[in-house]
Amino acid sequence: MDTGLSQQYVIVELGTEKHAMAISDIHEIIKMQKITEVPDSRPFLKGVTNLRGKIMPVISLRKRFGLEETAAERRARIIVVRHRDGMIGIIVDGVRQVTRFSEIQPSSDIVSGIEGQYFAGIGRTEEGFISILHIDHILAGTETSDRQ
Amino acid sequence: MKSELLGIFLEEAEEQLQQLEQDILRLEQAGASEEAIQSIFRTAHTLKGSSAVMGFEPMKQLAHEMENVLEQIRNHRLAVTPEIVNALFECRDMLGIHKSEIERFGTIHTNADEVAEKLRALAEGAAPAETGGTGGFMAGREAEDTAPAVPGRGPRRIECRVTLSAACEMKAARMLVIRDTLGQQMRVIAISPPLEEIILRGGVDEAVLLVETDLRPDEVAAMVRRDPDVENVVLRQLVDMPRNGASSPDSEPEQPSPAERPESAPDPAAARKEAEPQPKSGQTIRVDVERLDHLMNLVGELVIDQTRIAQASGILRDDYRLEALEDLEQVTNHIARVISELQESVMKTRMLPIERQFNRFPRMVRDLSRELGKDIELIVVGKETELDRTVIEEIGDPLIHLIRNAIDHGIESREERLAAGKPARGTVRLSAMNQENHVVITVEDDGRGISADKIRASAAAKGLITAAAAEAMSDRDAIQLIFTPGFSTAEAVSEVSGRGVGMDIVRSHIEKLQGLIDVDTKPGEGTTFTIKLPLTLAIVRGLLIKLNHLTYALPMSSVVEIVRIPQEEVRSVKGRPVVQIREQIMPIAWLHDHFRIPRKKRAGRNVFVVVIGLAEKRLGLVVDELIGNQEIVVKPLGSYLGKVDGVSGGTILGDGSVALILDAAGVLKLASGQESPITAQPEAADGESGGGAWASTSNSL
Repeated sequence: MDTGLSQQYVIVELGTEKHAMAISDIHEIIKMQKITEVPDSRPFLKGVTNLRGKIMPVISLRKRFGLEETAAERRARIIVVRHRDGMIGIIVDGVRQVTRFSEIQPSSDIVSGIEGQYFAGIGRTEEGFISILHIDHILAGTETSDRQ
Repeated sequence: MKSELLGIFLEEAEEQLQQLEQDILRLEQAGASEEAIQSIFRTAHTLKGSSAVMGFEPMKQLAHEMENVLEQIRNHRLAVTPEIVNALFECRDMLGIHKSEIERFGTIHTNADEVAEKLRALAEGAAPAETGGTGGFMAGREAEDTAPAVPGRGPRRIECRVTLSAACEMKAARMLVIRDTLGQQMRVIAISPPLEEIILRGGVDEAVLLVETDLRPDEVAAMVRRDPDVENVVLRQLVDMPRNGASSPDSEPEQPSPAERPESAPDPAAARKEAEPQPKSGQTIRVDVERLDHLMNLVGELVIDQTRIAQASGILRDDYRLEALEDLEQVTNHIARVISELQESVMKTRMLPIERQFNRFPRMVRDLSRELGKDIELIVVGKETELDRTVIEEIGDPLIHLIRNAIDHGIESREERLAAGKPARGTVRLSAMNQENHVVITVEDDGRGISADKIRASAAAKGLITAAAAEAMSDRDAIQLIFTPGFSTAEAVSEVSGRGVGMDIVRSHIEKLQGLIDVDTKPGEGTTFTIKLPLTLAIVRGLLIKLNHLTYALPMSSVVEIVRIPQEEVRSVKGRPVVQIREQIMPIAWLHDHFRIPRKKRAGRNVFVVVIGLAEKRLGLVVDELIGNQEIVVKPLGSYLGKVDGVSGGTILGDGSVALILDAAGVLKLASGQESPITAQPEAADGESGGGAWASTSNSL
């Protein structure tokens, strides 16, 4: 993962927390739209939606982090990321600004355990520290349940 | 540029290899037919040229040796013996290996010297024409040779005098271009003055090309005239193919020709063309499959949007009743018609004759029947039947399996057949035909048939079902057991078939294509497998239904009927819910339970039951609402979701949302895999979302 300091990050909201996603991981950001449920064993998988005529799976970041699901608010967004041969949507509560970090530390120093794998590092801004999401690990389907 | 040329080379090589295989088979079966010999010779020659241009030396070498052998056969210095046929097959297969190596690695790895050497030895061992030619078939050939030549039969030789215009700048290059243009459609035997001389002299004003072709002289002339630098073309048709030693491919065009025919002479051979289709010059083009796929996707989008427009205009009409809306409606209807025609046309461009698959089988049957020491004739019917190319690609493996089975298990040994009073030679019949919106393919053998008792015993012995259940089964049901995973009745596992992974794989392959497979057998008389396939997979008619608040699509091809049944008529038999439809007891299922959607409490007293069918199986699905049927564009859900049980893909509805497409095979499996007594789950209140059920069944983190 290129966590170079020159990289730009999008700050997303999840409840009271803020996380960062590398702009290079993001394909586009769309408004919340209708999602069709799909029977699947992964609880964080919300379903599928129509992205300009293609069917795209959508996951809930809240569910992924074991948080309560709230009714979708007006500010909710779907972050579209590229994954192998297609796109995948990640639902977040809202999207804030784009930023750069003055310093990035490995996440293992601060977060450990199951949650630790979802983070690629901790970035520092004037406002404080923000955890950087590890998209591949967040999308990976089975490893969390395996470790339980 | 290089890769584009390589693509064309590989594509053509594939066709040429297929052609070679068919022709060598023809050579073996029908003896040294002039046509087969010519065709092999031509194909080998073309392949030699193109592989030389691409720099694939080993392929060029093989094709060259093949050409030499054919040359000897053509001049009657070599008889067509099984040894030669085998060597030709070996050579063809080696070319095939080379071709796929080029495809995969970009270069050739396998050494072909041995094969080439064998062919060379055969060609060199050829007897001189005068003394050779012993054996029945050579005698036959000679007899045929003395028969008067029929004018216009077989490819003819045309001498083509091309004059370039004075304004033409690069005359040498232009002449080469003309030669190559003709070379794509016919065999250019010679050019005079020779190419080297043309190049040395920096181009000539006039040259004579000798070509061999099935085209008429005027067609050849038209091809040459298409070149803007050509001032004049004079054609002369030499009399029918010279039959004796003189027909060396390098013979000069200036050879005295016994007779001439004017260019515009009526063509007595025109009728012959219909028997054997020739590539029509200028009327077909090669198109990259990706472009067609893209076109198909665009049409799919149009179909969806058109549904949305119709829906919107319907809403407007109900709400406003403006006159202008009538126009809108008319336009909408017209667009709908145009789109449906467009859809049909695009679909047709993606269709290919099933020939592409069927052509593989004669060789396979030949090889297998030799291996097993059986005498088997393969009859192929309906090669020209067209199917979507994706379906054609996918149907190959199941067919190979069925044919192997027929040869290995179906057809008895020679002795067994004779003892049963059957002809010693077994027959496998492969046929394809159109039936409404489907293509039906059958694989039929006149072998021993399938014994229901053997199947019962075998299934019970393997623990697939209990002995009691096996006894209770009808013969027809018992035979369906061959499609059960892990079932194989072959007493000995042979090289050819029967590793216990047979028929269930065949069936799942066919179900993946939204097709059905059925088997019909009569002990002692034979077995017929019938496969029913949709013409295309991209756009299908679907029935839209609702399970609680969620919309799903069911392919119309698997919907048998829709019935309304009073709630109180739902009964329970052995713990499973059933309804009675006419005289039939029909198991029913709430797909809700499998998809973790709460069942909806019905306001009315009736339940809707959609009966779905797959082969002989029937199941009633309880649905909460029927929306109607429409064209749906099938889209994949993508690799991230992987295989979802009971779901074959998704489609986009008029309102832009996604509906999942149910697949009958998967749904039947889901329903049979789990006992779902009618009272298992309390009915949820109206309109409650699926969220609760999700949480209760998933291991939350």
